[in-house]
Amino acid sequence: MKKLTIDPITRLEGHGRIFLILDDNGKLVDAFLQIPELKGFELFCRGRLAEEMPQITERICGVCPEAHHLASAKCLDACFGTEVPEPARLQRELFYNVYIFSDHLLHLIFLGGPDLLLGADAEKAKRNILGILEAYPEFGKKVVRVRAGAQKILERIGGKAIHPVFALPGGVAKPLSEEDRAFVEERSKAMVELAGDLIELFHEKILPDPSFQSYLLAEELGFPTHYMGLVDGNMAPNFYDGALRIVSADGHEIYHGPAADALSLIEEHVEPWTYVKFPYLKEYGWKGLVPGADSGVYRVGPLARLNVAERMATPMAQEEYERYLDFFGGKPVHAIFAYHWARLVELVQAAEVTLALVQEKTLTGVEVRGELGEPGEGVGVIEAARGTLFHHYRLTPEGLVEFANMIVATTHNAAGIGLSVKAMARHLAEDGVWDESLLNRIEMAFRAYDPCLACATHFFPGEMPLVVEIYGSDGELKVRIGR
Amino acid sequence: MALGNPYRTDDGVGIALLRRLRVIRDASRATGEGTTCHASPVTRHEIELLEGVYDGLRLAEAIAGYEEVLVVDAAPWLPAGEVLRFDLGDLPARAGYLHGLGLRAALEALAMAGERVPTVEILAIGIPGDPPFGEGLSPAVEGALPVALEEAIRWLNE
Repeated sequence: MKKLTIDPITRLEGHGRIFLILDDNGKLVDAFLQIPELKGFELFCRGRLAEEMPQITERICGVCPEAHHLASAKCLDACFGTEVPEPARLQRELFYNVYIFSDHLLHLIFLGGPDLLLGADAEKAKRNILGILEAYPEFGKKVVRVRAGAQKILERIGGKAIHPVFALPGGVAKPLSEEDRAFVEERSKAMVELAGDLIELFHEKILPDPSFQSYLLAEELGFPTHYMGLVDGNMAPNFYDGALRIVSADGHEIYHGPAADALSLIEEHVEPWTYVKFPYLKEYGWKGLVPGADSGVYRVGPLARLNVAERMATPMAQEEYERYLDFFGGKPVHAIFAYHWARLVELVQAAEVTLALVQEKTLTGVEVRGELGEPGEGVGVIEAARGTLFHHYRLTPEGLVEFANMIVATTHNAAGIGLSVKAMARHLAEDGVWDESLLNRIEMAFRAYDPCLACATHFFPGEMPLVVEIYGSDGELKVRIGR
Repeated sequence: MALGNPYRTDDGVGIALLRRLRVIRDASRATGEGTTCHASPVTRHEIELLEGVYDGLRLAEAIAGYEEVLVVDAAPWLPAGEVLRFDLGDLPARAGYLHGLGLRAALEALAMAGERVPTVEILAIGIPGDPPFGEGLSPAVEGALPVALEEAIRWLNE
């Protein structure tokens, strides 16, 4: 028998790294988050057939292939100047809301959930899905069952278990049959029921926790930034489509218009210590990795979407949104840990929208492909679970990809996540003792964003490791903790 | 179940193996023989060949309900070209973290929730670290494919 030693730390390129810099007295001086980024994907796309892009781009991320698949299809709709027929648009939007529900559920209960439901000080070995199932056996089983049902919907509509193949430029591959519609409807009722249970659980077990409340309300954990997200015609969040809205740190509207045009409002800043580029609002300029109304730093994702919206699209989500705003005293909400609550509000909307869409009469219509025009240039924008996702392609007259660029949610949030890690480290570092529990709390600030470091890589052991390195004032590495 | 990104060179070795296996399986079904690549025939036919991603829970959900699963994946922690087959139980159980829960923990969780979970073996193929974007495999990894393919067929026929 050969002894196996599997150390994910050997794949450093795929790691997120948190650097904490201490002074001679062990007090925090600075904190940085380094996010890896693999280069060359856009270059690889050049010369490919445009129609391949929804299948190629979804492979760059094992976490949200659905978001890349549809962002790419929407980008191709724009490149070919095609109108997507209503049954196809509904089918895509239905699929997409199920993905948002499923992804938010995974984070809320099993990934970020252990911190919230079991507590940051819970035994390390228990802070996971198994710990949740032990502590909440019946509820945990229900979550697993409903999520499995949602995954089956994605498989049924998407055409494959993991990498969907259904979206094409101008529409989708085939009409949704009545049998499939009924299959989705049955499971979406369970999604709505579970959404109600989650609200109850949140208000009974999570929100009353003094430690969680202190994180929600701590001033230094609620630093101001600008926010970006898609909204529908009623100014409610829309995950699949809509106009892009950007609001400032003090809540006034900076932009509200075509999502594709927003690319011209963003520039990217490069720092020598990380591969990731920091996007910022051009109008404000890059003032450094700093929060505030004058900084160009903005955030995306659930917190941002609820800040750019004026209301939610569905009744139960609206009710929860109002409770959320009452708690914080109105918008914009800046608290890092409000991401979790905002994620819950969005999950509820996604479940309700799913049930509403599946009852739309035109959903099973047979016209599912629009006529394609001449290939050109286009931008597709979608709200991935973790935030706004841009795909931008330019095609040759032959329909080959000449240029491709993508800005993913975790890139938009890179500055915000870095600031959050620093804020949390400052918040906790009063006594200068850096133990496992403290480091977990710093990671909680990182996890609140549900960041995806996975684009273009995968790890067999099934983890996305994060390394925390603590350096002394002499620049020497003092402690290195890897998971 | 093959894991990996076919557009990231050696990272997609599992997918490359699965696609060759699909050809052999189909040829074996038709003729009872292997194909011209001199691989052994696949004699057990009630199999499905799936492509997937790294994530523990999604992977576990995708293979729940099956009886036995062989997961084929690129392994940057093995010397390039080395092939190793082992039980999932030989992997360290890891606590949940970010998107990945670890396949072992995720299957355990599904079992706790009453789902039927398969017995799982892993077929790991060593690759160099940090494979670039592109198609095709490096010579060392390409050279390991026939060995890995035979191992996969042996597992299928057991």
